[in-house]
Amino acid sequence: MIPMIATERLILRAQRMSDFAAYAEHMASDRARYEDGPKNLKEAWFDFAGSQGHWLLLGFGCWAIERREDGAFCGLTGVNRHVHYPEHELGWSLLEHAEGQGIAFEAATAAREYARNHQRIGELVSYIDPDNARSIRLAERLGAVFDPKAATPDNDPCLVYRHPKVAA
Amino acid sequence: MMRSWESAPIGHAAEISAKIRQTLPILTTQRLRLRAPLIADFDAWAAIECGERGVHIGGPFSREEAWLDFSQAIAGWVLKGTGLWSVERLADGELVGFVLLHHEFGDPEVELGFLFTQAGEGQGYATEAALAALNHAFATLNWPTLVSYVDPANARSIRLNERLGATLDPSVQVEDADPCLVYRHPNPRGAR
Repeated sequence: MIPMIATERLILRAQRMSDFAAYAEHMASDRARYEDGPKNLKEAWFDFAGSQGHWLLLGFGCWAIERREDGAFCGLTGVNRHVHYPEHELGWSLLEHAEGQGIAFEAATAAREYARNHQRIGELVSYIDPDNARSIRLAERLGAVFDPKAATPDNDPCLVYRHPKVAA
Repeated sequence: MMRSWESAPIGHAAEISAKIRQTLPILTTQRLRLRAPLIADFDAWAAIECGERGVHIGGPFSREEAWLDFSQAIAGWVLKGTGLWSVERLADGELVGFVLLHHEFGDPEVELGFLFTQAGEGQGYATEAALAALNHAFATLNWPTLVSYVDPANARSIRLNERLGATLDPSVQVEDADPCLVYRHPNPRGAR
């Protein structure tokens, strides 16, 4: 049903209920300040389940990032198209224990390739809080370029990074 | 009004979407079909939740809030095995409402929920569809209990629950900002 992707160190798979506690803990922490957080449990649920509901309706959405070595849940990545998003967004949300190992880069790269090659989503942006230096570095490492002219969700003061186009 | 992103998925994404939808049970009644939701159904959902009818479910909601609610109810299918059906009229395929079997965030037990469009009301459709979902919950899913959470001011929903044979259960407290009645549906196989 929801496709699974294996990379060198990771599996991208469907989210599970058992991922939610760790995700909610992340969203309640100070680390979520760049993701419109910290968020309470109910808000975290709407984020977690909302992105999973995409798959049935739209055929794309977020994956849970699982580390192959130990099966640990590391966060979410994938394509979002919420109602207030002007474009398809490639997003990532990484738990603290998984940071600093290139996991977000590896996962987001795989998700972006899948979106381009299989879901025919040629145009992707990432919405990033201007203070989120780590996420900006990741977007740049992915080859995305700041697009000052792009519309933001509900005119939010976030930065829009546009991913390079690929030949169709 | 439908936005461009609300158009049906294309390419491989359409196949993924269809494959997931095919795993959902379809329930057919005398006049109705309970089927997998489509992105095209969101407009009707938003019209209910963002309008005055949304008052009884904690709204009216913004379109963004309605989207998250629609999406999370649908995610139930993937995350928990049950979720939201769209209800269409067999005669003409017209969408008349939505029925839900879902353990929503923060609720003490699994719920039977129903939301009908204005045009879908007053013809017994909600009763017919809710009954099909209720039978599915007890007979096919083998759930021991099922309740409906109802706004005390929602006289129409209270009447529908009573028509379905549900009774008010004052012993259950729901942790929510808004007042909420719990109607308990009798399990036809008896209590477990």
